[in-house]
Amino acid sequence: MSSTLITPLLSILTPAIAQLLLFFATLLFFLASHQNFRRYLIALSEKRKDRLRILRIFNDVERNLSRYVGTLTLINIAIGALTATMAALVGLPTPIALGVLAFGLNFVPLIGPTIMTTVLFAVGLVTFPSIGYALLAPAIFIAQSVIEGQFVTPNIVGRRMTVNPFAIFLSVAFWVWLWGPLGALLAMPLLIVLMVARGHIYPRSGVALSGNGRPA
Amino acid sequence: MQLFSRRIVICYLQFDASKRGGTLKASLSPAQRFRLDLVEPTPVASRELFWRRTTEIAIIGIFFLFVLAALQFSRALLLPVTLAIVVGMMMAPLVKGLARIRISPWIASLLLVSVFFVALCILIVVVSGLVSEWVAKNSEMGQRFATSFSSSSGRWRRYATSKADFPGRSASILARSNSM
Repeated sequence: MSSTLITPLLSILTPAIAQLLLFFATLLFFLASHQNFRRYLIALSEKRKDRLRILRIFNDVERNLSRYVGTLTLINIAIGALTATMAALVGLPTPIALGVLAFGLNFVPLIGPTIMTTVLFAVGLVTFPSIGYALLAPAIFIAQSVIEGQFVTPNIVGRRMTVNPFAIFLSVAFWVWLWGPLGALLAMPLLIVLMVARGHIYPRSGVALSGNGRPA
Repeated sequence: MQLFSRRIVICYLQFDASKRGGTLKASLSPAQRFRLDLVEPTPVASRELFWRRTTEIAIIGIFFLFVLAALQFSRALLLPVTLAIVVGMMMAPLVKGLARIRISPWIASLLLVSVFFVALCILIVVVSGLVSEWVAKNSEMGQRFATSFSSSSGRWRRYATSKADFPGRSASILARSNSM
């Protein structure tokens, strides 16, 4: 009986653990040998002009990515704290866990907030006896997300960084289809990498993907 | 080409003749009567160049298909590595900052990785705590779900008029569901 339970469990867990180890090992080695990695990358090309281009693309990718992920983390901490406070005020159970969940899910563009709204609605439906009252927390969460997306993020990140929502949506759909739920986390960073590279290779065609029609 | 089309006409005539009892009508088939309506066709300068270009595009297309298949196939390897590089790029400025105050990159990155690991563990523990708590409540949840759906409008009206407190009410629902 126990073996029938343990064998499938192991077969699920072993790849997950291997991938987790792979992740942390790569992270450690990448961080420690970051400067060497840069040197190798530059050494890829013989021509001075190409080296300069590779270096510039690498620097810009790094700068844009760290700025994006850094700002997003700060915003998500605020979103998580606000969601926890809101959940506590409305009267949902385990407000801190809901706040942490909101923090984690908000890293996934578009899909994350949608899942969070659904979770809040489900929790409300179970906790409160009426649908009207259960809709209160999701409504506040949606309002909060709209305010964040329309006013807070553009003011912090700047209008220049805004990417066409359609491009984000396609990117999320593609990576989720290809690599599963974790691919959703990669959708936005990889889109940024692509856009930075394209901006360096075709500097003047920055209109197509930028959010407000102005060149990015 | 000319011969081919004439042959088609003949076939059609014979078919037509058999159908209409011998009255031969020299009619063209609808397919032959139809003419393409082209506005200012612009032929390519060189057919050879055109096909060379097409071949290039086709090869690039095949390359993308292969990349797609390779990405799908090597998911187990590429997903963690890509994720680690993205997270690493985010943390690289911190390592550089720590290097400025004479901390070796190995120690700095070990420190950052362990901080990240602990943060991830806390996140997972908190969220899984929520999930397991919910699974434990599962049977109770389903029944409450049903009751809140079945008479939600009535309940809402009652709530709006009486403003009764929720804990008491949910306790009464619980008692009812336990007695069932």
